Amino acid sequence: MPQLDFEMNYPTIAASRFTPNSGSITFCPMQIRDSISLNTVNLPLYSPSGAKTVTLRLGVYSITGSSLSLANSLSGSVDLVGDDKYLSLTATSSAQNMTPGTWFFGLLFSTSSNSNFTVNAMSHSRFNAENAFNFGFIGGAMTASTSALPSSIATSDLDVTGTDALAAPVMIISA
Amino acid sequence: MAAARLNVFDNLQLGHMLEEQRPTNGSLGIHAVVFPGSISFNTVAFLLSAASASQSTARTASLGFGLYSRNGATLSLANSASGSFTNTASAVSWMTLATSATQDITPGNWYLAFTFSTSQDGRVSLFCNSAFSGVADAAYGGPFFRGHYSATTNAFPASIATSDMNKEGGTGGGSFHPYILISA
Repeated sequence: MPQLDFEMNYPTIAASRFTPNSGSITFCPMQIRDSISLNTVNLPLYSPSGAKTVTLRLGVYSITGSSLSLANSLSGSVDLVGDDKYLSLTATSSAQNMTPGTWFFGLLFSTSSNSNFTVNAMSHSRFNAENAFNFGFIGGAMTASTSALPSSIATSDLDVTGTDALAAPVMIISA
Repeated sequence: MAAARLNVFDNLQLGHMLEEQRPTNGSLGIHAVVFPGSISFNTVAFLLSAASASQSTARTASLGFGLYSRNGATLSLANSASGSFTNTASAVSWMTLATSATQDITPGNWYLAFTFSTSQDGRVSLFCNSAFSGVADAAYGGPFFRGHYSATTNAFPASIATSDMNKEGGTGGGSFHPYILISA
């Protein structure tokens, strides 16, 4: 397969939304089917009301064993006032040609005021398994607050149950 | 890793969060996909829904499919298919179209396009992706990957400048695209 111009974890807008944890990080997997130059990442956001500026620091992590390692990062902001908008992230911390395989994205959101916003996702509010999936890491969320993307984190330090841990936000990577 | 050959390809999972939508007559929607393997392009299929009505008037719709590649800021038509649908009963039906030319679709990025028109009071719908309301207040950044053609048409232009496409999220962008199945 040739170098990709874009990659996405869902081909259209999805039918669900999830409310991200503000001030802590949710890690979600994404299969990259062939090499792609990391340039722009787009996520659809929604806010029912109230003006706010939503800022996202997005970490791109590789996984080795049970350790996630930060390979790159992007950040961006969008002003929401009761509307649906794309949050577009550019300015990667370093040039990167993503290789095929499973990558994890760490989402660290913050807002200027209330945290009443959601991210378009493939998740479902009832997708809240009581027991943990113990056959490999498929996503998780930090329980502690943070304002920075960790350079590495053990998957054993993450909560792997709950809708926040298993969220699958819609993301589109463009070269 | 060598790419496999596919027997079928669909852009959305059949039955997964699909809902009926009535695209605007004369609109041309395009969305990007990734073919994980190669496939001999033979037949393309859509799912249509004819709504119930206490009338005997036939419900008709015309549907078109286009396959585009992108090089820089230009979308180029690689293949197409079209047909008409007629039904007098309330039903969900497959509509299959034959391609205009044989083609072996190679792995990688392609752009799926559709046109749709119906003349009867909007009683024919397409099964599309499901969404609360779509994104309508700000388009995405970066190069074009999804949206609607800025002009009204029922034919596929041989080439389209991406600057002539309304990106999803912006004015005229649109967020709904039909379920499409391609079989070898």
